[in-house]
Amino acid sequence: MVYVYAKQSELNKYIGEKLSVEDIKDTLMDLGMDVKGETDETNPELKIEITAEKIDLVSKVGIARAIKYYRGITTEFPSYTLGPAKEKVIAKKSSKDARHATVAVILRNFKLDEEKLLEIIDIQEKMHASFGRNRKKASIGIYPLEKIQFPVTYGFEKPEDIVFKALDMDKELNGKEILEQHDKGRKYAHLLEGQKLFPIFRDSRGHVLSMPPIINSEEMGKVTINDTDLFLEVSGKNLHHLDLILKVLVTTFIEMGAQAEAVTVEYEDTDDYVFSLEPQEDTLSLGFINKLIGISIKENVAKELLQKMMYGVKSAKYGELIVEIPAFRGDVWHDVDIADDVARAYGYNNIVPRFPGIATVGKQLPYSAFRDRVTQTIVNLGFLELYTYILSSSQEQYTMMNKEVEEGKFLRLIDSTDEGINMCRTWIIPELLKSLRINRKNKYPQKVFENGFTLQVSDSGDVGARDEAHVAVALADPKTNYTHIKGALDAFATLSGFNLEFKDAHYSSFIEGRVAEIFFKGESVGVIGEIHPQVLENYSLLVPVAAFELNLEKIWELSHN
Amino acid sequence: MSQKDASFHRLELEILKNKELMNKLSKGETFFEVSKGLLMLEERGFVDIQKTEKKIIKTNDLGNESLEGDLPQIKFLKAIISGPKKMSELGLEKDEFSFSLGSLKKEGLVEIKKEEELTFTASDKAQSYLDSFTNPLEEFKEGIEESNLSDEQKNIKKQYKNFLEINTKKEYHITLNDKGKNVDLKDQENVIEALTTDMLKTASWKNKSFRSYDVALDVPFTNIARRHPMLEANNILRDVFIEMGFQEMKGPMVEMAFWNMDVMWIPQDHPARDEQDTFYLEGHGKAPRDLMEKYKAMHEDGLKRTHTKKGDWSEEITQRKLLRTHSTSTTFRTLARLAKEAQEQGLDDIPNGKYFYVANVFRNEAVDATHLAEFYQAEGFIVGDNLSLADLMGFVKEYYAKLGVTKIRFKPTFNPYTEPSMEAHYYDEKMKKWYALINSGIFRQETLKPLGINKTIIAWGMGASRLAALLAKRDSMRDITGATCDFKWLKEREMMTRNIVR
Repeated sequence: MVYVYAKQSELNKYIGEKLSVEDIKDTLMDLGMDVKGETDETNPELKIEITAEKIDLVSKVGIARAIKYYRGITTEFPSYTLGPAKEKVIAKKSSKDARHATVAVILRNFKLDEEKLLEIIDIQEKMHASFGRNRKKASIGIYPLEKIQFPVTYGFEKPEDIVFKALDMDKELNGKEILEQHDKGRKYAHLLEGQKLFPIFRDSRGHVLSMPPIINSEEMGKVTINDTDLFLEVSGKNLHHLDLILKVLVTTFIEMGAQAEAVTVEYEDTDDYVFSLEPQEDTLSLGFINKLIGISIKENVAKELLQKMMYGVKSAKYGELIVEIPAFRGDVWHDVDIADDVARAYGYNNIVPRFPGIATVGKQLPYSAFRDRVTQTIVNLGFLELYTYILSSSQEQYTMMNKEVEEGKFLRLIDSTDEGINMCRTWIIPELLKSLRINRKNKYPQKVFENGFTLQVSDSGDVGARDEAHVAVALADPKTNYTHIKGALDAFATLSGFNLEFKDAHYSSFIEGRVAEIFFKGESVGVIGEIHPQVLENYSLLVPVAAFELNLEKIWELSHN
Repeated sequence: MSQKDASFHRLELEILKNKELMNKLSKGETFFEVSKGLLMLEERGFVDIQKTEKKIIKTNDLGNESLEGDLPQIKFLKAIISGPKKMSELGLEKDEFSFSLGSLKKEGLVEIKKEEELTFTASDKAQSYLDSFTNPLEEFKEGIEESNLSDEQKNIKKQYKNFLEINTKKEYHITLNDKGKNVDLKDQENVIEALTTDMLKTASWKNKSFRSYDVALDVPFTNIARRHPMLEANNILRDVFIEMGFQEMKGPMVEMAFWNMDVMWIPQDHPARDEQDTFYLEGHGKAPRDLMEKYKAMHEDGLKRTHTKKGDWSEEITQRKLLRTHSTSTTFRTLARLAKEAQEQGLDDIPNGKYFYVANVFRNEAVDATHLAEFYQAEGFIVGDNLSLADLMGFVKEYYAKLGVTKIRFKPTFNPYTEPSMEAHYYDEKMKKWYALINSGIFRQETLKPLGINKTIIAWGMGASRLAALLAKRDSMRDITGATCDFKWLKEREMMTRNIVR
């Protein structure tokens, strides 16, 4: 999630009006943004959350622009002038496999001051973090134009051959050393991991501009407020994505006072790319919009609403709309996206809700009803229902249960944020023991159960796994033993109408001679017994525990065959 | 005398029948503790109890130790009397050191030099101080009542507070009052303490009275067995859905990226797919070939414009195994099944209908009050011919009404697979705040066309674990889920209603 922090005065400066904080907040809410900030302060800083697709709003300028149009302060379509390409970048063929793409532009007569320069750096950082996915998808470089001799080359070289003074370093290092010694090198080294060749921008004299996505050179890549002309490139993996980022950056900088000039990128192996700010045109029907939103507006209203959302409207008659989509929009994939923008301009809270007139009969799955009856029956036997997690650990599921870890018989997680989690549980009794341990301070007897899911490895199905509902019941009390839990299970079986059978079993989690395998219609459906004292010790329990666990999934299947 | 005043508990009788004790009580007697029976008699107004508390100052373990050995400042002086010592050579605990240094400095008994380490030297006065020193705590060995402390003793108490403890000594002055003096025990033979089977058999209870009980007495709860609030809340949600004509769905928790993300037209490089958000499992599933081709085309071509470059959509990525991150994977499995059934029956499109699922889902993220790695989600969708954003709003409004909420507002938002996308907020009158609980939208055509569905589908979902916390009146979802739940709370929590407003 990206946040833009903007003071009321900063936004108003770009909007060109003196809007109250309430007005700004309401407008942003209507546009679909979440805003936090105190309304009773003077000139508060607003924290504005930008959703994943709104690339054009990742700056104060972009947010102010959206507010300006939404409130009708401007209606003119945001088109931008772009000077024809004079300079070029040559993209080498060797860069095919990795971050092979780049796009570029030249900015001229950009009068910078401290504030603007900070804003530019802020936009660059935000774009890196969000749509550049921490430079993984895109890396942005900005350079003073006067130091560059064109054409610039974007190529790939051996790290040992790339030797230059990186930004804020006092000595020359090679590519490998930069990854080890420079702050940014260490931070972003993983993006070049395993690559034999590193990406590099050089000018026609061979001077290094930058080694993306890591760092600019001290000589060529340091922008100050005295630089009015700038060279701007974005490099990465997906040309379409880079183009969109560049469009957003350039239109933002034009709004801040720059003039832009296209740059040609000559690809050795594919078509040349020339940057453009031409809007896309789209045709759609007003009837479609009205139907999707549930309103009925006329062409003239639709035109106004579209303009509030920064669209150009070339024509709006006979139920057909021809619209221009601003160059900086990256999220208008289909008519529904334009229709939704119309709804935002109309105001979601101005739409009259109506209850959908589709008559149907409500139905619960028989299996859910069955599981619910099981829960109710066990509650009736005096047990407290628990709800514990499916996410568990091999430590709890096996080792603490006095069992060897059976690789391949459970689903192991590849990676987990929580170190205490590494697998999906295959049985529930360990979770009950964990609950009993945590609740040692509470009074005995403790009678608890859970009717929940386990995940099992399976040969059938398209994912090689199966959800399996189990019910596990545990009885913890200084005086409890096998007889008591067997009594509970017998009562449950009688109330549920299941004819269960029991056979002696060997099971290291339970006391030998006090454990049985449970059978239903000749198939094994569970286990019952007194928990082994070693297991109780592992779980720091000082009372005997007796428990059973039934595979409800199987019982359900068997009772319906 | 009322019947209540004429019947006595066994413990009361033990006292009333003890002549020696009664004799003392009638004059008034002081005790250090008071028996249950006496308390019961007081409660019923037969005796008066006057309670007084005395504070006794006495040496504690540390103080007693110093009486056997030395006080820290003496240990300090003894250590340096034979010659200067560095701090590490003093052999004092950290708190012993900090206790004694100040007073030694004040009395001019020690000189401090700072070299590499602090060095301490005994002053000329030190030896005579040592010779004449007596431990002032001696007087406190047996304990002194606080109100009897002399000024000097008060100073010692202040200076040596770590060596002393305060014990409260309670005294009860108990007197038998007039009501107590008039107790008549003659009839006690005819008072029944406990009714027995034998009494019933022999009818010996007849013409006897029963000892009266304090009927308002707090007693321990009987065993409580009940449902868990999380699952109780899930059932409330299911009931609401079923009341509104919805059919239940079911689908697997172990999924493929295909059903969890790709069918929803979520780009394969979308941040939501990162390992920081999704639990991936070893290996790959098998996505249906025909659908995979169709969704590949939809990702790469779109309907008008798209987000994925031709050739970039990967079958390997789409078949990666994971734990579902939302129940929408099951929504799409259901839609695919309905589409297949419609096709087999020669229908143009799937029939209109309403479906729901209350399902557990997984997110690989750090757990806190509002984020869990595993939680429940409730999700529903309606298939229709002419459904719109206004219908979605109308539905959500009724759904909220079922949860006791009437003041709501809508806000546009973004979901990769719905457009329009809408949050529905409700206003909590008590908290005076807006809360976002429902996220919703209309499925993008890019997600439905590959299944051959042309109808409109409105859908919404909410965090059922959040809802359960609201219904259980708890702030943190962690309080109501997992093995850490407190049994006592689970048993004694208040009954749950459908109303989410606190």
